[in-house]
Amino acid sequence: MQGLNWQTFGFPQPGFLPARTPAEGLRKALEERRLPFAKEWDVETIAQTDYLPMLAASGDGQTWCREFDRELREVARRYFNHTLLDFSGLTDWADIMWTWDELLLEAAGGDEKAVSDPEKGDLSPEWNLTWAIQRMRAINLLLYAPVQYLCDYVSGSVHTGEPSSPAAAVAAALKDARPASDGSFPASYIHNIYGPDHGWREGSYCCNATVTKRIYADLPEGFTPDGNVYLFMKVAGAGGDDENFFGSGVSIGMNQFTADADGVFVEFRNDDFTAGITTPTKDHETYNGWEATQCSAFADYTSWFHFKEGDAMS
Amino acid sequence: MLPRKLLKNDKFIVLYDLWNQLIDHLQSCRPVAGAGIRIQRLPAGTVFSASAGSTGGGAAGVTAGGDEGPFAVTVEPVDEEQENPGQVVRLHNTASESGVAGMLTIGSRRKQIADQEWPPKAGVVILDITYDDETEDYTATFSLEETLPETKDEKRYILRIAEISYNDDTKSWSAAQVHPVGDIEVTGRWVK
Repeated sequence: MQGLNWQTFGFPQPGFLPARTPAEGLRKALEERRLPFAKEWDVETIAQTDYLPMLAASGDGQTWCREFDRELREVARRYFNHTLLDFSGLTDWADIMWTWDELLLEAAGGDEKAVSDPEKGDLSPEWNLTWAIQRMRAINLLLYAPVQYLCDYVSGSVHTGEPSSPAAAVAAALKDARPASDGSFPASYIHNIYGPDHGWREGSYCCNATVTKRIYADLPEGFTPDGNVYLFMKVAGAGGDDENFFGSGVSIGMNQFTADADGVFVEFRNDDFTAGITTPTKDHETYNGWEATQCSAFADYTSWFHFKEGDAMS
Repeated sequence: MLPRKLLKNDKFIVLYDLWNQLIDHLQSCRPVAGAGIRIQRLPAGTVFSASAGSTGGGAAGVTAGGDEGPFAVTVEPVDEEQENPGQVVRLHNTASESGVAGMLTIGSRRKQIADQEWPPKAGVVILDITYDDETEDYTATFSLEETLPETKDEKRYILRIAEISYNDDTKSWSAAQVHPVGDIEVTGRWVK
């Protein structure tokens, strides 16, 4: 879309321009970074919206910059920090997302003393050129936003009072398992229940079973990411207890996958979930397997963004 | 100190000393501007004006009440000793004749501006600021121009300080202050 880029608003060298021009550019760029989370990709509204009344309402430059930072912080934490080089040390979901301090530091070229943060001191002069350039760089770093993923799985259960062992209950549950595909948190587990707890005969067992076959990206139509498409999944033992963990292809904690050319993150082999199964007893259900507690896929939206590094080299 | 009167028998050489003493005495009696006191020496006479609430000061030159203070533009005689002194347009601090016209602040940069003078002509006294992307620095120039420069360069900022005009009746130049007297700070621009 013509005119919707950094250069139109004076960047990468907005020095001494009237306050309104770079400010409007920063505002439009920030609004564009909200689009991956919006219901529709409406960049035209951003291009046509006049943000100058918001500028006037803020009053002075320091107030406007502080308010802008508050909004940028909220948007930034929803983007994946693609500058991470080593995923092996990830332990928590927050480890993979941009933090405000990390973003500002990266935008300042890694020099902590150069960071321009109005919340850490007086932003003087009020329309601070260094602040504007660093915020442009910060926005340029927000590239990897969530994309939809899907997982193919089978799900079944048996509550008939017929299986006389946990293994038989698992086999019966999986025998008539129904295939499904959706964006729910992936999981592969068996859930065994002592039969009499559900009103069945003594010595019988019930079972719920879910087995994930594969997880793959479901990208918007016409969207071809520039870089890798990543999947991050935090895994715990089934039933909320890591002692119950069983399965191949994943491990407890943060797991990272990269989509192949077909968009597939991972395909799971058929595991024997009856191995090491704990027999349920009265009022004591057992689990065997794993479940995702958090899961999200990220793709590089550079090809869709108008405000990005390249049209304003700095 | 007023020299003694001449005596009939005074030698001619004494006359030189007494004359020079008289000149020294007259110079000591010459009025000069002080805190809150402004002097305008015009062909038609000398005007003394005082401003209530004005402050004297050093180079910083705070804004004074009325039209006294930094970056004031006045038209003054060049050499009032002459019978028909010429005039000059001056940019100066009328509250403190220190040679510093005022303080100019652009972002985090503060610069002391010395008094400026120009031969009078009809036009406008301006402050012209430009920004160099490569050096990331500002160039500030005060000048008297015949017309207000027009520019579409967004990295050039022109501030009108005063207008200079000629009065045919009084045969004199006059200055009309446009920008309020006081130190100048450039705001509303992205600056370092």
